[in-house]
Amino acid sequence: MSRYKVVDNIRIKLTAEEEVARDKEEENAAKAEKELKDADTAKANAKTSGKAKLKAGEALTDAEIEALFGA
Amino acid sequence: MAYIGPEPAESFTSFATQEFSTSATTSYTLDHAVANENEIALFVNNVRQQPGSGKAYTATGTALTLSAATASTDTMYCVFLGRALQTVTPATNSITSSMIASKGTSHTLLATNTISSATAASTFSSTYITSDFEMYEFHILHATPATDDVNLYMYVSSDNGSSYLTGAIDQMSTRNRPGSASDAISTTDQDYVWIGSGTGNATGEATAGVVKMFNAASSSMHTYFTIQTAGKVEANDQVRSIVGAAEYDANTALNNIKFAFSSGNIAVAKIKLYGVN
Repeated sequence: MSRYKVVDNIRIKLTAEEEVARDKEEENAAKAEKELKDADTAKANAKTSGKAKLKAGEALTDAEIEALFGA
Repeated sequence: MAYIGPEPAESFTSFATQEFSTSATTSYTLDHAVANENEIALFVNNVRQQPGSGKAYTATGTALTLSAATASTDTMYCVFLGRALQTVTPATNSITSSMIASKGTSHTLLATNTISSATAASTFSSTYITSDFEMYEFHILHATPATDDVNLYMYVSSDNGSSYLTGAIDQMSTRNRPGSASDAISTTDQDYVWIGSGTGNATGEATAGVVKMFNAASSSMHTYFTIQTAGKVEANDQVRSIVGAAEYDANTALNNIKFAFSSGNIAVAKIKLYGVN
């Protein structure tokens, strides 16, 4: 399906090159967002495991220390 | 007939007038100096008087001298024939930014992009992103995606949109999400400025806010951005915000700005571009 852009309030159909460029943009955005979500998940997991280790008196990893204390 | 000097779009001519508080005297003072009595038309009790020595009145400088004293019951006024004042009312939307001597006092609305059906991007071209302004403001009144829970990004171009620059935007912003710790957006060498977080696509959901852009046309200064936006997120009744700053990390003059969601189309949007000097 054709895509469009609005340039200075005028709606224009994307050229073939622009369609390819837009696909690439979405692909790159998805990749960057996945990296960010993975980092968020890893941080949340480290926080959870770090809390458990603190309660159990076990040694923390660097990632767990950073997730809990920000250092 | 040829017109000497700038021709006004529309004009009318009015005359300066003066009303006198009359008394039993022949001497009055004019508001404006005149060369002689022929430069004013004098009316006493709405009857025009004859100018000239030995006639009804004479005038020189600001001195008006009558040949006979008025009474306090008279009404008297004059019209300054030599002080025709031209008043021009410019046509609506006819004042351009270059015609304003001091442009620092207000915003100039340059363009409004309105989207009402699925569109991949909202773009402002080199028609408006020029060296006329050192600062621009994008007022995102609302931008709603076609796809649920996507981010709103801003891309920059130096060739008026033939391509968009990649890998040169650094950003440090705070992304506030209810139920989550505030996240720092700390990115370097990114393709875009991240301005809207997880925008929902239900009716009424949108990202809204202001993005300011500094030095876009400069080839000796980086372009800086400040971001302050609010957004409504999918179906969990949350509002999110992004507040912070970004930088295009090169001395490249930018002349085209594009807004697009991380995935899919813009369903509806209204974005205004202002120039600020």
